[in-house]
Amino acid sequence: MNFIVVTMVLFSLALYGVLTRRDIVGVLASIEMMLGSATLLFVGLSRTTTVATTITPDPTHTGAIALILMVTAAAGAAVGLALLVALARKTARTRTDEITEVKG
Amino acid sequence: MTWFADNAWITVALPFVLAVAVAISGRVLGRAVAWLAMLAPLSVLVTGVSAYLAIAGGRTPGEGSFEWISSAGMSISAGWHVDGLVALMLLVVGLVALMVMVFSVGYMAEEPGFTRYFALLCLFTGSMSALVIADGLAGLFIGWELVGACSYLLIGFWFTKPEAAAAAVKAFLTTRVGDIGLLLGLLLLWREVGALDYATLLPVAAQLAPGVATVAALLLAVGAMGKSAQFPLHIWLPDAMEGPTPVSALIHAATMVAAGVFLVSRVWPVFEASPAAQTVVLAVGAFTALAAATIALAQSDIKKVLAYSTISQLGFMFAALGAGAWIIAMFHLATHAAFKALLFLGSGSVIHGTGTQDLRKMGGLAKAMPVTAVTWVIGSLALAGVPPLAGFFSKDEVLHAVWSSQPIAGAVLFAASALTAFYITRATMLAFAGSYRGSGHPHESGPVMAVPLVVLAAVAAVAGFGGGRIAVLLGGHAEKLHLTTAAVSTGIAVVFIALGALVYKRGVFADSALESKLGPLWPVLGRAYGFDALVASVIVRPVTTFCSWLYRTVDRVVIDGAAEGTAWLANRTGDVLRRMQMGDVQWYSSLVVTGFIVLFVLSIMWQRIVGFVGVGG
Repeated sequence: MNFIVVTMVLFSLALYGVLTRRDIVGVLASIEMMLGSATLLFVGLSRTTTVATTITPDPTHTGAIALILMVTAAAGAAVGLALLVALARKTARTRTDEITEVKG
Repeated sequence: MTWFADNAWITVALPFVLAVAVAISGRVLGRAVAWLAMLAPLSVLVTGVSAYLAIAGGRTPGEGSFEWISSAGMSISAGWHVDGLVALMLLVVGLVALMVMVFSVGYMAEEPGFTRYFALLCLFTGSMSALVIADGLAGLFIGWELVGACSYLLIGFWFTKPEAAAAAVKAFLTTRVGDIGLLLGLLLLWREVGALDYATLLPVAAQLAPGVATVAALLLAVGAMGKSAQFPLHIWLPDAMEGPTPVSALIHAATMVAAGVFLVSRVWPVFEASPAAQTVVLAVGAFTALAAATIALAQSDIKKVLAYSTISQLGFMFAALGAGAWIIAMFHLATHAAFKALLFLGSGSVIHGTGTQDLRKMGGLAKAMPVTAVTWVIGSLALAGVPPLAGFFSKDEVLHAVWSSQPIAGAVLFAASALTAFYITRATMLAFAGSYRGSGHPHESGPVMAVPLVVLAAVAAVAGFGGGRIAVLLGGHAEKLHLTTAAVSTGIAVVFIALGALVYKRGVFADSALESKLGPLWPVLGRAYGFDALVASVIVRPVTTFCSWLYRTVDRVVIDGAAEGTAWLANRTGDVLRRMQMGDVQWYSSLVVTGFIVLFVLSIMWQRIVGFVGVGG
């Protein structure tokens, strides 16, 4: 089960990046990393019948879930980057600490 | 024709529909809406004639009713019912309303609110019909309040004028005092009898306990006194003269103010069961008749003279009611409606021709306004009770009835009728005799205003001969002329007319002559004995002071304090909490993660925590 430890480490590093990186590109990359860690978890599960059968009767299903996650991550990155480009063009800001309109 | 007698509801439905139609089509039709509006009083008049013919022909007109309110074992029906009394009222209302509307076409020609005026007149006509044809006190009360509302709207027709707005409010509030009495009377009768429709209520009125009958009758009488401007609730009527003059003729002389007399006549069995209530009504009526007549002596505003005259004449009707002669009271109501509407429209014509209401600025109008002068004089003689005009017959019967039931009240009424002859002669001489004292040139009113005057003058001249028919219509019998009373009252009228003519011989404003004779009494009369001021200082001022205290303390401090305190608290809480809103998306993310971790740990530890605390398992 070492792959689970790997995904946990990967996810924690990504979370740290999401919370601390001040440039939006970095935050987006970190989010992709979180999704990647989740994908890795599912890929690992599809190889490990004992755990996989507690999630789904057929272990190959978890491989399908991993594929869906990759597509979702790609779509999310596309939308996120598009928003970032639009924001940069409109306000010339690309850092999270510059965007504080909802400050109370 | 007979259809109208059987379907009297049309006298309510059509005017209400017309009121809306007039209001909507005013922009398109312009001044022509007046002729559309006239269908309303016309329907009332036709129904009155039709009902009269049916009843005179021995047939009972149709009636109908439907269940209006039904709840928890009680049910109030609403419907219409036509008998002789209703037919007479419909005739009076229809005729006067029609004449007033025709007159108004000329009188209100220059008025920007022309459409609103005629829509309101339609509304009033329908409301008055509703009051009259209702088959029970519940329906009557609705019409009663509706005519009050129309009266308010029409007195305040020129609402940009502060006096008119104040007069409208005063009329509304003063009659409201009476209306509370009426409502309490209704509730009492409901509790005792369990029904408010005449068919159930009136036959059992005689079996009411004497105390109950007296209280009920007095409460109903309070309502009637408010509407009919009897002492001490009379103060609104002189102020109501702020409304357009044709409105005064219709609402504040002929129809609405007579509703009190109609009410007492309608529920007469209740009053019959209580001699005490009759005595009160008699005393109030006789006192009001005399007091108002003295006040009318000293008024310089032509409409105020007529207003106090109306109060005085309504006092005559109340005295007749108090003497038990409700048929005679209704007869006087009908003749009074004709000649007082005539006098009011005549004063309207004078005001239209001279541009003033002040008798001191009139004079010599007989030459400039011959039609108005002749019809006015006919109305004045009818009011003074000169034979063979209408007022003579009805006043003779009133005087006879009151005299034979209570000589003191009779004597008071004789004095009042002497003053009546005097004050109306004074007004006539000041307005029409001598030479013109105002500025500009007075002019006669056009035919559209002259025709109603002539029609009403004709009615005022001959209506007295219909007394017998009216008595039969109302289920009584024709009275013979009481020769002694007639001779005395005619003598009094003639003497006081002559006296008035002598004092105001040249039509000069010779009030100074009368003034020196009356001495300090004169300004007191002019101020109507200061009763208005008394009411203002004893009732109105304490109430307004109390209300403004309530406003300042209870409303501003307690209620607004609670509301504003809540808002302040929310505001302060927000001020504190908003510091958490950093506007930094990663701060929010951190909170989400922290919250997640806390919940996650809790969900794992839950069983252990519950076990440690010792609840559940």
